[in-house]
Amino acid sequence: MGQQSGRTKLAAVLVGCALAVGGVIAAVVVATGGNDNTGTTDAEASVTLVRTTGQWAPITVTRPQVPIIGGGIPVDIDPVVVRTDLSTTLSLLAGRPNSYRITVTNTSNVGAINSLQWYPPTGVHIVKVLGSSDGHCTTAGLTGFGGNQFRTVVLFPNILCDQLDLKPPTCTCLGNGGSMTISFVTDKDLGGSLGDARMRAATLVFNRIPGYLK
Amino acid sequence: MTRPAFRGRTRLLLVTAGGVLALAGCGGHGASSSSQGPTDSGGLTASDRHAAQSALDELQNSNVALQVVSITKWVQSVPAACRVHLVSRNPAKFKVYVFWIPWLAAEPYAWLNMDVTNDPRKSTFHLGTVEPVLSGGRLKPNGRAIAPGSIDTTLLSRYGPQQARKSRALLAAHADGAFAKPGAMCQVLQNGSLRLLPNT
Repeated sequence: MGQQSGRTKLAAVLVGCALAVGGVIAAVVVATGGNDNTGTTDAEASVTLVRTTGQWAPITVTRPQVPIIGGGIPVDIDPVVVRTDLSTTLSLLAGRPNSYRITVTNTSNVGAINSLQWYPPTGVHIVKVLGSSDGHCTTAGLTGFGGNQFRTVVLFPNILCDQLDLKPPTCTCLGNGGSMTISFVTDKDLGGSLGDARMRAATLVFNRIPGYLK
Repeated sequence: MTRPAFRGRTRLLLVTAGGVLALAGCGGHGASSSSQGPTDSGGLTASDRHAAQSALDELQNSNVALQVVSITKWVQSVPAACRVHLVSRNPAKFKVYVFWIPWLAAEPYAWLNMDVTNDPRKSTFHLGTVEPVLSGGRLKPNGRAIAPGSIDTTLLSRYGPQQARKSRALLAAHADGAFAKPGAMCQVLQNGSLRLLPNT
């Protein structure tokens, strides 16, 4: 009988130990979970709360009022920002009519330019791309507007160059960014117009590119 | 107490002890799986969210923040999407995607695909743009030709449901998996910083 009493006590002790271990584990779980749920200290939380106004408010844009008369917009609305990511110079290819070479230079504060499009002046069509010093350049434009009757109609003809790596300038004030040349033939004289070169893709640098020398 | 009764009580005690130990074991298992903590509806733990915001904070005052503001001014629209997707926990790596739908048809769609870590030198930032309607001029009423000398300044929203579908398709096409779980939406702030938003 004494032996049985001893076993009973042992069982009770075992149960007590198990409960204690379970309690400790539960406490650890609750404590860890509680910490994870906040993720920040009270001080950090208060800072986050403060930073919701001024520069820390959601970004907004201000647009001009657009008059709509009779369902139409009677005025031109121009983009407010004119990008200066690329600069262009134009030269004639000697001995070839309507053949040109443009030199495009990265003047952006974005980073390395990987793709660009060059649009000729309105009314000028690009007949052929002769070559480029970097990447891969082809003629591009919108097709399908002529329907089945005019399959060859291309709107907004342009030259698309990709696989480029025009390095960023060290300062936008220096104009020492990467450059490339594109040679092409058009259906008519460009009349000295430089056309319009637009950045299509770029790899941003992390540090800001200055606009002036210190 | 009779012998069978005693045996019954001993068994009961042993079963109870076993049950308690099993429960304790469950608790221990829970602790190990919850070392990441419980997840929200977007599949992120509090620890993930903290790591994501820390990684986003590394971009403050950088060229990325500058360009985010610059693009917003350029296209005259706030981002249509801002998404953070957890790529890996160790090391902490996030895919961040911001997409803009322009206000005017003469302005481009723009998007930023970023692989962001706590070390900005190991992060990458790619900008893409495409014209909604290519530049050159305004379409004539028949839709097949360009009015010479004109510049297309029509509001993009006036191009109707077909353009809206194109906008949504472009937004999805360039996301590169950013909308997959685990992840959360984010918000661009006035200073170009990015803030992770809570999952509802």
